Amino acid sequence: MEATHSGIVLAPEDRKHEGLILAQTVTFNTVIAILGKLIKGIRLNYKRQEKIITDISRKLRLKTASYDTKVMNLSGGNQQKVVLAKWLVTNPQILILDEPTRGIDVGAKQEIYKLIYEIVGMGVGVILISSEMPEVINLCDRVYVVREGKITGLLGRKDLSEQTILKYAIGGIGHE
Amino acid sequence: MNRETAGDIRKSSPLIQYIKNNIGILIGLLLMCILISLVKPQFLATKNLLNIVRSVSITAILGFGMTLCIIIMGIDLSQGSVIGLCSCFCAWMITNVGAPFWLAVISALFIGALCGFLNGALLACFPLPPFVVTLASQLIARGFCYVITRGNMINVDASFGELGNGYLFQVIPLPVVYMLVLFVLMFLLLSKTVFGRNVYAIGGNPEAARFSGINIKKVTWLIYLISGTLAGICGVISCSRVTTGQPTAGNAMEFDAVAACYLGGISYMGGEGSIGSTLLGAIVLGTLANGMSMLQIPWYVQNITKGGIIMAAVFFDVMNKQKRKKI
Repeated sequence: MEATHSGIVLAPEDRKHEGLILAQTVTFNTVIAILGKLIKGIRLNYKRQEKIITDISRKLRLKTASYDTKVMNLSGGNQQKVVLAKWLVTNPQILILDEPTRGIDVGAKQEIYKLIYEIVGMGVGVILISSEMPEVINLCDRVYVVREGKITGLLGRKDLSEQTILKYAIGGIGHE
Repeated sequence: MNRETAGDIRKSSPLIQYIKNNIGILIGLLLMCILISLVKPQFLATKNLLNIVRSVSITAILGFGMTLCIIIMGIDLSQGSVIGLCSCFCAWMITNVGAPFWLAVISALFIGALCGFLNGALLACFPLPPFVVTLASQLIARGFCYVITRGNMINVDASFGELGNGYLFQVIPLPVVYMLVLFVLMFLLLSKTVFGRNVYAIGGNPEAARFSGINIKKVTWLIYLISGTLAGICGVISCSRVTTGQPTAGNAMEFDAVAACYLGGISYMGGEGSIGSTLLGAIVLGTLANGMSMLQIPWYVQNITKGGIIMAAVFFDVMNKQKRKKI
């Protein structure tokens, strides 16, 4: 919670259990982390809410029948976009994505990758946690390989390959 | 296209939305009224209708607090006993201490708030089941009723009765006025404030709410505090209604409140429901009781009917949920 205030936010791995309130609308979920800025007493700044949602959903190319659609009726990819939207509207400095493409179909995965590039373009630092090799190799500038809770290797953009990552992940064959 | 549909939904006024959401129970209420009034035309007399709303008001006020608890998948079973405790305390303050009415009322409300505060403290700070905690505090509060009154009733000066038996403009019973004021306050609190949205968020998905930076502890605590305070208000009203502090006051009232919530269509799975539907649920319960009494149906048959209706309400709620899941 303190981290949220200092600009570091986490989009959790298991979006259905930890990221979204499925029975509520797209609007409800998108603004949930910035309610304090939108509501003063009993007055909701409707125009501002509207603007924030249209802006972010355009940026993320969110596909939904309306902003009053319940999140449970959206596709996996669009649900993930709502999770991203929820955090992007807080203007974070660092966004941690934990397995952002788990349970999403292939087309939507590409879309999420594109979005991650765009988010970085907006000036947000992204930490991507992933166990999918191609995802890591294609998206990351710098990779820390973690094995059993310990960082076993740091790879720059130019040494990135499945082989090197695997080497560190399996446990430093090179040292033997 | 997308934006248009979004606009359409918003354009329909809150009242129409309310009717749409509660269409089933509204039709049921209407049918019930028509049936009863066909047999007993006196049912529709203004005096009788006012009687119904007056008897409904305490259930409704309790129900408002219970609504909050049920939305976050909790429950407050101590409400009925807190009514008794506050009623006894209020009477004790007036008769035994000789406190002025206003002080007695305020201190009784404070006792109610304190009960809620303690319930909330336990439930917010420890992962305890609300059912068990409030069941225990129900017993404790009921015990204190007898401690205060020493098992007898405490009679109060008759002029205190004005608070619960009086009328506004000589027409509207005062408890109904309190209920309406609290209705507006609670409605605004739940549907317009950050607190209200947080309540729905926690009920919908506590984990996600926590990850979104919502202070679950604070919200839970406040909910039980509100529930206790509302029960305190009911305690003062019921003390004034009969101008006695009775240790048995409010016995099993919390179940009427729960019934009103479920009848109104508040989901037992949490995260859904509104103050408006609870009010409607309380009205249906009150109308049912009044109508059956008018038709001279014995009270035990009334209980059977009430129980059956509550069961049916929850049954349809669950069936609806499953249908939606399949789609």
